[in-house]
Amino acid sequence: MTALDLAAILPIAILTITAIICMMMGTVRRETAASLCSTISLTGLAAASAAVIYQRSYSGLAFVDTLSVDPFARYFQLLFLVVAALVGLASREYLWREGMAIGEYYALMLFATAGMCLMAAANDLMVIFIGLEISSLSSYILVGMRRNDAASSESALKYFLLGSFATAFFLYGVALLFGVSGSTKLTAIRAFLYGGQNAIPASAALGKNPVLETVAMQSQFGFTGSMDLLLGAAIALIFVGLAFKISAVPFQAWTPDVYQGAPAPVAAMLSTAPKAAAFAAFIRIFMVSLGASAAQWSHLLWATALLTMTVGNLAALWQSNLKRLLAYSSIAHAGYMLVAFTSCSTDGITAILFYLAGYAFMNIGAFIVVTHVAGPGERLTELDDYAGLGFRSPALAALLTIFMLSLIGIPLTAGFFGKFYIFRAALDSGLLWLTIFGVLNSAIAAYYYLQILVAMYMKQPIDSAAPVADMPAGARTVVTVCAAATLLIGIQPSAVLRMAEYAAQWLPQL
Amino acid sequence: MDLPFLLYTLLKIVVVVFALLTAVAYTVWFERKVVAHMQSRWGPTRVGPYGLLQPLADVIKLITKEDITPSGVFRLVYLAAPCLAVITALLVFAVIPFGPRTEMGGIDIFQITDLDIGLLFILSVSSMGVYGIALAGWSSNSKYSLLGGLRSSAQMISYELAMGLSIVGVVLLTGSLSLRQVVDNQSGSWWGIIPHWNVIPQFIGFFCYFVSAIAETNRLPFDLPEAETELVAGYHTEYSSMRFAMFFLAEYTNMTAVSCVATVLYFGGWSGPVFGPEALQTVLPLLWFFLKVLAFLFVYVWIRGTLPRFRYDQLMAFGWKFLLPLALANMVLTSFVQAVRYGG
Amino acid sequence: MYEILFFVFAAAAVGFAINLLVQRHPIYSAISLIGVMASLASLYLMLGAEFIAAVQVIVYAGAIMVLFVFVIMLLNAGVEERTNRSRMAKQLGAPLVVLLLGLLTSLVYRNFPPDAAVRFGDFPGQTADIGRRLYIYYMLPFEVVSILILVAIVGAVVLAKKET
Repeated sequence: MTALDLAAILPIAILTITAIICMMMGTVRRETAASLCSTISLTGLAAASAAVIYQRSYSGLAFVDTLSVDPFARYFQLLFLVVAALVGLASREYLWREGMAIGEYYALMLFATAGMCLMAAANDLMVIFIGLEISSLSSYILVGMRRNDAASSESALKYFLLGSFATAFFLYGVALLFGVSGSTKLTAIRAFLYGGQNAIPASAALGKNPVLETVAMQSQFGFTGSMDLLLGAAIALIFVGLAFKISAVPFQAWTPDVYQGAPAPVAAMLSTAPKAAAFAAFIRIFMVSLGASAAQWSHLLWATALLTMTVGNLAALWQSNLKRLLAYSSIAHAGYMLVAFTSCSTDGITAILFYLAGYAFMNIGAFIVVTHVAGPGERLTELDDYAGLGFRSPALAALLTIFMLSLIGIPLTAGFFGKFYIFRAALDSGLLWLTIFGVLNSAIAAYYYLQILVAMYMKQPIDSAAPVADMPAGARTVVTVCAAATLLIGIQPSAVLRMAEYAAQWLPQL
Repeated sequence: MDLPFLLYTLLKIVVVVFALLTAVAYTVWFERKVVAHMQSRWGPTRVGPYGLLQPLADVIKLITKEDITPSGVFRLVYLAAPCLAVITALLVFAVIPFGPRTEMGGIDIFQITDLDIGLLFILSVSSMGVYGIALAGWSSNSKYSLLGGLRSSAQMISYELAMGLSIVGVVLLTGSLSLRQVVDNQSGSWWGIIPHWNVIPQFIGFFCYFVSAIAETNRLPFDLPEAETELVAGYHTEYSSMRFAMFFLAEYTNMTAVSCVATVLYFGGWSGPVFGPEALQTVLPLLWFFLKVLAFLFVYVWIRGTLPRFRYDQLMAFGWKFLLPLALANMVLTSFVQAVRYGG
Repeated sequence: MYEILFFVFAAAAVGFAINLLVQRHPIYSAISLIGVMASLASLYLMLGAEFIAAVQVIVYAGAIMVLFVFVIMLLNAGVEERTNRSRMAKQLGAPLVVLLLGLLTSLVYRNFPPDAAVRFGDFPGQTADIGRRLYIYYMLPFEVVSILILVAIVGAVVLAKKET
């Protein structure tokens, strides 16, 4: 094991070890477990972040070309770690309130984060697949952890069944891609598709290697026209698998049900981190490996982006449940990011990375506020429950307002710059119509976000409405941090933008 | 694949199966005799000298009995289950080497086939063995059968792990999965007296293997799937005549198979002193093999005659909390020692 | 000889797979799935991929399917009910399946010359080689799978343990 290998695996190893320690805290008394676990996991996440930052002095491929150490992976890993820290801190009192298994919750959350870190850094389709499975499996369980709630179990089962189906699509695509190129390494596939020759890297050919020789022999039949079809099938299948994970239309049906049934902090995480991880894998596979056939898949992306934005926003208009509404809004936001992806340019990727960061803060903030307002058992999640919140609990309402405005994309919030960079990148790549549709969609979206503001500030509270309790310390910190970050990125975007640019520039140009 | 090879192989299979069926019949006689003597009885004495023809009489009785298929059974599965049990039991013998490689016309006569993955083959076949019992229990549409089937599947799944892990020790020592190589690796001796058998470095592994193998074959003290005091006859309660006999056959074939595998893995297979004229030299290894297998069969019967039955929770706790960790520890220890020995 | 055996096992695999879908009783479906696994293992064995064949039987037929059968027995699951609601699935599904199969067949057929596509018994992946490959070139995926399994265990315990 070289120093590079060690640096590459260090954040993931730290996360795993922390998760195992958290798991053992299941034996501690419940009263102390919550604060103990959140402290341990925060420490672990901080250590993992330090490890990610320490990685900066390294670059290259580790573990026989299966793991890539690069700024792109680091950007995503930091994002996952921040999301996990925010969600972990915010769910401290929630777990206690809902009587959920505390040690296991934190352990699974950290495992999921480790899986996502793996996905972001993978240079091998198999590693991406395993990372995807680790994060998905953990999320399925996290969704179903409110065991005394039927909706939670139902949504976990739905998520599990549809998710496994999607993973199967992805795996089938990987198998076909291996059949075409003779390798599962992203860089080797790229070399094969660009060069049209044997893609076996020199390091793998060390020693006698009959398995790969057979494959290489088959690949030497050449890159014929029908091979192109096979490649097309592979791209389509991988696309389906990943589109499910970012809940792009037409693979979005699970999203509202799952977000509604999941514990609200888990929904906060689902809408940000795994989505970002799926985007990381998406971008890496398509830009690094499949860049040569961009002409084929960019049409696919175009249509998906348009559909995702439109369906997400239109469906959100009819929602009265806030968790469902945020779910549809997260579908729409994935659509905006797909617009940037369609541009296939460095600017587009930069915009996605920037948007993911801003979106993480505003969405987690919004979900945590919803968690708190919902009260014990998550009963108060309807729009009517928010009537007059501005008078009942002004601070909470103000925070939610910031997040909603940012989700709309009002200037001085993170959402504005996010949308701005996305549409600019799209225009630069000549995607005029897609940009027009995107802007129209943002206008539609404003309606349902404003609906919430209207309910909070212009409606009288229902008489029976109980006063909202004070927010517990952990959640309060998280919401404050999220609001501050949302505003900060909205006023001074350059720091995050520079990081995103640096990360995006690492990717090969098309 | 040419025709003579095919015919020779078929001939070998036929010979092995016939020898085996006879052996199994006499295992039953052996067991009845030994248990009887342990309990100060005589055992079978009427048919032939020392009751030696008793197995034959039993076979005739079982074949001529009426074959009843109870109403309400899942017919297809009910009929197929006993066959499945017998087939999986017999398949193990496809890879067992009964003697050193002895060629006759280019064909090895003492082993049906020397698979590279012989050990894995045995594991995979014995992992299929549970279906015969589980499906028999389920398809009989009877509560006793179902309980027996459930118990046996749970038991076999649990003990299969320990069995597989205990074998890993032998694989680590040999560096091969081929049974012939496992035996060849055990030739020679320490200081000229102690044979180079795997049981000496691998005594923990052997213990785990043999205990879990007894559980896998549903024999006392692990015979809960057919505990007659609780479940009438367990999974084969509803079976009669030849179908019942097939379960019986499968159980004793499995016992023989386990004895053969234990002999091959831990007790040097056919190795033993070889002397005399050439013809004797060819036959002697077979004799040693046979004697070792017989010793194991005796241990089987001995255990049956001595130990009481486990309670079900004890059985599970023993398998998961004692045997499995022990087998794991043995595996780790063995790999550590091998790593130190061969550097790395 | 090999050709005949190949077609026997291939037909068995496909037949069992179809039977798996057609059967209404879960246990018959489970048995059919075991049949599919066993037939596939035989095909692997004939290709010379002995290790893969053995693992296929041990893992799928011997462990996973036993648990399937066990659970079906334990729940005493009856004949499944069919709702027959989705007409679209019926009318669109079958032609699409045929289309996909046809497409794949033609792709494979055109890509690989007939004599090169099937080579009996000379698959080069011997057990030791697979092990070496797994522990050297694919060490990371191999090791990381342990996290996946740990997650699955934790999940099963969390979702199934008694309420405290």
